[in-house]
Amino acid sequence: MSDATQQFTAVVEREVRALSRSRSVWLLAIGFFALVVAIAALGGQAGYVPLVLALLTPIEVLVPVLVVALGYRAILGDRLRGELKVLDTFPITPIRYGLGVYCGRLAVALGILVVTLLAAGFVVPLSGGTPNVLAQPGGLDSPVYYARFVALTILFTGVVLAITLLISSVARSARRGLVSAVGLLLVLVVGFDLVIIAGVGQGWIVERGLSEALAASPLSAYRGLVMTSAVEPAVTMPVRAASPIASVFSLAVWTSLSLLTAAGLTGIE
Amino acid sequence: MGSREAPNRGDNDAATAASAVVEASELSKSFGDVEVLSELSFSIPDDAVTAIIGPNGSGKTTLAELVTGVESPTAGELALHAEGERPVGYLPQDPRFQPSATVRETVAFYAALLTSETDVDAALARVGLEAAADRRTDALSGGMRRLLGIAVSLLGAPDLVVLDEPTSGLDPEMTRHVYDVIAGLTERDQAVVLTTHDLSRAADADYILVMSDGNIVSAGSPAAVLADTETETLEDAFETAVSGRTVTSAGGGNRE
Repeated sequence: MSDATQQFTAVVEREVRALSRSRSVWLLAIGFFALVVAIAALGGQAGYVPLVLALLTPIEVLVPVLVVALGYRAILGDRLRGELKVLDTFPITPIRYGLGVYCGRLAVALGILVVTLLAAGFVVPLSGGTPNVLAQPGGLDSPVYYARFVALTILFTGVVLAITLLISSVARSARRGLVSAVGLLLVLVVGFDLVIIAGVGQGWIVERGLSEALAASPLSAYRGLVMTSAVEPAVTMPVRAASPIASVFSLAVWTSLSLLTAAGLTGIE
Repeated sequence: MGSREAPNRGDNDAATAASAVVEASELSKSFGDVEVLSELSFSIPDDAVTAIIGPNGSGKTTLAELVTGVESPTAGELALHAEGERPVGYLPQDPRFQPSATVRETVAFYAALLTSETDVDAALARVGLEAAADRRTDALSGGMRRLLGIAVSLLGAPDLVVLDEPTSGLDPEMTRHVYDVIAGLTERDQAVVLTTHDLSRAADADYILVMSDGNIVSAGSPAAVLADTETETLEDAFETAVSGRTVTSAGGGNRE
């Protein structure tokens, strides 16, 4: 194993171990699982596309809550304990440390998310419900759309975690970290969309630039990708959403810039 | 404080340029508008124990962090003559570790950041923590946490080990144990810098920096500091130095 791999693996294992031994993380995971599966059971029995539509809005809120809870103390905790200063005396680069923290926390978040969404997906075959009213004839309502939704939600989780780590690296106290993380949550869930709506209303976002403007918000970008790849192919009506290309670009920029900035702010040299 | 001079490296000064592990020139550190260290010039001898003493708020921890490299000076230069994969080891004043990790896991994590092979159990045995190896760090006493911090600071056999108040809050037996560990380091040609309020222990150091209000008011071997302050005990020397009656400097850069 190379030095870089060994260091990266050590940090990943440390993060996974810390989260997996936390009782509050287990409670959070159980709560997330129960809520999502319950929502799926109540609103997603008619098919995979209706399941996606039933879960989309709750997931837009619950994933940031889950990720912020798992990640806001990640770098902040090391800072408050003085471990960043100790780490600074070891030959580990800030990027390697930051990536290790990110991947470790992401592994736990995805473990919770994927298990939950897989369980929610079983609602459709288990219900034996009536055919999907939205799907076109010819069996277009397929588990493939649900799989796309799961894949895009994994991507969204990664973006939110990167932004959460940025907040965690900026915060200097536990209280400020929590307040910042909750603020981030609000900005992610409603803030960007409100700005875009205001922009359209005020006229500084023009109609033909709307789909690109929507992609600037991580949440709208995620929603747009879900609508265009997991809903639109199965429905007869056109879907208006953020531009897919702009959305992918936006999510990539949010993730990479957040992670690079977070690593740079650790103080490790 | 009055005018400042370049370090005076007399015959009795252990920190000659040839054997210094740290050389600082006009070193200053400010946090915002608050100047914590003011134009310090000093040397720290190699293969020796250097004690930084001074009242609370005199700048000991900030100086230790500058020497370690975890803080950068606002002005001045600091040359570190230490080599290796991990040139400097560091024990923070209040060492804390990921609470759910065990003592062994904590040392193993830091050891994994180094390319050199580390016997984790031997590292724990060195500080007397082998019996607590499987205990979670949040179940350790303050003293044991400090010992764990020392074990981590020694990983990679750094040329210079900086210990910020390594015996603060420890009982006499634990304090003796920590100083035995420190004494063992110099036998391995490792230089040690420690900050302490324990003047009786500081008197056993090879070299002393006396700090007051962000300045080094006396420096040198214990004998040199006593001569410098015209006192007979380090307690008196400390009182004299920090009360502003210091007149000479064996290695520090401040003079009144």
